[in-house]
Amino acid sequence: MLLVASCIFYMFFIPSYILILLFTILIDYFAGILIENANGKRRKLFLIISIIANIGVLSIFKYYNFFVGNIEGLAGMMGWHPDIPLLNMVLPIGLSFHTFQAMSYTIEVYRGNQKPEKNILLYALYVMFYPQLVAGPIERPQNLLHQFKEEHLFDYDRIVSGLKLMLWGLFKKVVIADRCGAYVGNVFDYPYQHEGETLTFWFGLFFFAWQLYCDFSGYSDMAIGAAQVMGIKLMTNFKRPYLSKSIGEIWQRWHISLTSWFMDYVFRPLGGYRKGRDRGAINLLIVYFLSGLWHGAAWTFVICFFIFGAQLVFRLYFKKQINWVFGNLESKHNKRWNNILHTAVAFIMICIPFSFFRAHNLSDALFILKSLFNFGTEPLSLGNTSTFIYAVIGVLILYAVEIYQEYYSKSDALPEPKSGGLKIAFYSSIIIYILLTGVFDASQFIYFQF
Amino acid sequence: MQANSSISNSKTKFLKRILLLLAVLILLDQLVGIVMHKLYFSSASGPEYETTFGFTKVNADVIITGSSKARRNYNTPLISDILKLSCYNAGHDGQSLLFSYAMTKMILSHHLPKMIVVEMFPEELYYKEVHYDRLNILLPYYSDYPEIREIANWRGTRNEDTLSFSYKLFPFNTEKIKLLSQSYRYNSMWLDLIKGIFKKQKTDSGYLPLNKTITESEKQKYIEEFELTIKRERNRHIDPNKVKSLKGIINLCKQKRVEVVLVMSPVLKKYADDPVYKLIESISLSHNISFFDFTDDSRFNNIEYFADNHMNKVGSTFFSSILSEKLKSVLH
Repeated sequence: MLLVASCIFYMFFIPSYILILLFTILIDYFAGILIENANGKRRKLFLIISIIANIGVLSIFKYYNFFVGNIEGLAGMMGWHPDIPLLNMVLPIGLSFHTFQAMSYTIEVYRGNQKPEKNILLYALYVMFYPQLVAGPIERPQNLLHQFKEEHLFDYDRIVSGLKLMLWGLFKKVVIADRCGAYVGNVFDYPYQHEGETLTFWFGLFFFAWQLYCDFSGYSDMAIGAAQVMGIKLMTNFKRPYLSKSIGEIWQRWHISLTSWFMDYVFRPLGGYRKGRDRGAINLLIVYFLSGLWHGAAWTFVICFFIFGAQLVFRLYFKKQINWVFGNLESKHNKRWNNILHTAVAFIMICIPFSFFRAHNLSDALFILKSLFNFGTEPLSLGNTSTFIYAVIGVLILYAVEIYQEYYSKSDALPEPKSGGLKIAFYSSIIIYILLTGVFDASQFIYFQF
Repeated sequence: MQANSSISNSKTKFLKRILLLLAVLILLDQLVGIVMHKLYFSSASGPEYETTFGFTKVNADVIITGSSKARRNYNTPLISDILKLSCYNAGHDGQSLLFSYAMTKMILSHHLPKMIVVEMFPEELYYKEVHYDRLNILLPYYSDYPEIREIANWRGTRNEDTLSFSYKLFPFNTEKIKLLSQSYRYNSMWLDLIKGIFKKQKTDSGYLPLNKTITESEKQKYIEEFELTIKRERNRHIDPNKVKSLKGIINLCKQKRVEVVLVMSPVLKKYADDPVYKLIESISLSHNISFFDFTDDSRFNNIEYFADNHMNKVGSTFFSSILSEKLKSVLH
C-alpha cells in the first residue's frame, strides 16, 4: 500500500521517470543478493556495478550538461569550438537523495552490516518511501528496512507528536523561509541596484541562511512527522545548527543524513584523520568538494562548499590561535555572553560562503562579497518594510523556540501549554498565524532541485 | 484484549481532540476574520483605503488604472486642470493588468466615468508569478463583490503552464480551498493595517510622485539587470489571462459606453520589436480604440525625467501635460 502511494506520488511529476527509479532499484536489489552470495573480488565487482549504475544515472541527468559546458569552455579557450549536443531534460525530482540512499544499501550489504532484502517490493519501498523520497532525510537500510516489516499499532502520542512536527515544519517553510526569501530575492536577483548598501547585503545573507535552513529543515520536519504518523521513525536531519558554537559543530547538526553519509562512505574510507593532519585536511576538502557537487551542477555550489571545507581545515591548523582570540574576547563570569559570541561568530562564518550558494553566477557572488565591506551613504534598504518585519518576527520566533529546546527543555518538543484545552487553543493560534502571515505563493522547496 | 481496548480508547481520544481542534480553529478563524474585516474597511488612508475607494466610491470623470507606473507617471491634478474634468489615479504599486481589470469591473459596477485610461508597461503582459501573488489584494472583497471573484480565482490556476511539482501534486484550484478561511483573506496584511492606524499616507487624487532623479550609471545598471532578469525567465510567454483582462476592460467599457484609452508611458529604454507592441496595436485597431505609445518618444529621452524606471515629478508633469492634449482630442 505504501509502495503504491509512493509510486503515485513520484509519478505526479513526470510519470515516465519512474523507469529511472525502476532501473536502479532492480540493479541494487540484485546487486545486494549477489554481494551476499559472492566471495572475494566478485563481491567488490557487484558493489562497483551498483555504484556505477547509480552514479551513472546521476551523471547523465544532473551533470552531463555541466560537464559539456565546462569542456566547451575549456576548448573555447584553446580556440576550438566543438558543438556537443546538450540534454534538454528536467532533472528527476529528488534524484540526488534517493540515489544516495540506494547506494548506502549496497555499501552496507557489502560491509556486512545489512542482510540483503529478499522481498523486492520492500526494497523498492526503502528507496521510494514517499515522505523522504524527494528531499530526504537520506536513510540507512539498518534504520529503515526493518521498520517496514513491523506492525504499527495506533499510538496516540506518536501520531500527535508527528502532527505537531509537521505543523512546525509548515510554519518554518511558509512563515519564515518564504518570507525571508522575498527579501533575499530582492538582494540577490538585483545586486547591482544595491551598490553601497552594506547592511542590505548583510541582511540579504543572514535572511538567506535562515531561509535555506527553514526551507530544508521545514521539509525534513514534515517528512519525519508524516512518517512518524505512519509509525516509521526517520533519522533527525537538523539539530538547531544555528545555535552551534563553532563551524565544526554546525556541520554536525546540519543536514545530518548527508554529512554522515559522506563521513561514512567517503571521509573514513579515505582514511579520515587517521593518516595525519595533512591527509585529514585533504580528505575534508575532498568531502566538501563532493558535497558542493552533490548540491548542484554549478561552480557556485562547488566553491561555496569548498570554502566551508577550507574553514574547517583552517580551524584544524590554527585551533590554538583561534582559541587565543576567543579567550581574549570571552568574559570570565558571563557564560551567556560567551555562548552568544561563539554562536554569532560561527553563524557569520557560515553565512559568508552562502553568497555563492544563492548568487546566479560567480561574478554576482564576488560582487556581493565585495559589497559586504563597501560602505556607502545609504547602508540599508528595507525593500517592502512589512516583508522585512514579518521575516524578522518569524526569525525571532524560530530562535525563541530553538533556544527553549536547546537550553531549557533539552528535547525537540515545541514549547506548549500544559493543559489540554489551552494546548488546542495554542495550536489553533499557530494555524491562524500561518494563514495570516504565511507566504502562499507558488514557491517550491529549495532542495527539491537537488 | 486489554491492548485492543486501549487502542480503541486512544482512537476515540484522538478523534475527539481533532474535532475539538477543528471547532476551535473555525471559531477563531471567523473571529479573526471579523476583526481584520473591521480593521481593513475602516482604514482612512493607505493602499487598503485607496483600493476600497476605487472599488466602491470613486466618481471622477477620468480614471487612470494600472500599476505603480500609473500612480507615479500620471499627474492627475494637472490632467484634471487641462481637461476641466475631475480625474482620479487608481493605479496601484506592484499590480498589473489583472488588477486593472478588477478595478475597471468594480468602478463600472457603481459609476460611469467619461473615460478610463489603461496604463500598460510592455513587460506587464508577460506571465509573472508575482502578479498573481499580488492579487491577494482582492481577497478581502471576495465575499461581498462577486465581480472580482473570477480574477481572484486566477491565483489558484496560474501554474497550468509550468512544471511546478506542487501543481502536479494539486492540479486543481487550491485558492478556492484556502478562501474557505476568513483569516487567509487578509494574508500578509495585518502589519499594514496596524501601520495604517498610525501613519497617514496622503495622495493627491491617487497621484504619488517620486522626487529623486536617476543617474546615468544607475540607468545603465537598471537596464542591464532588467535584461538579465528577462534572460533568466524560464518559459517566457505573453500571459493569456492578461490578454483576456485587456480585452475584458475594452469590452466592458464599450458595453457601458465609456471611452477607453490604452497608454504606454515613457520608459528608460524601448524594448524594440517586442511582440507585445504588435499585440496591443492589433487589439486597439480591432476594437477601434486609441492607443498612445510614448515608450519610444524622443521628447522623454532625458534622465532628468526619471526616478528609476518610473518618472519623477518633473517628468510626470511634462508627460501628463502632453498626454492631456491627446486625451482632450479623444474626448472631443
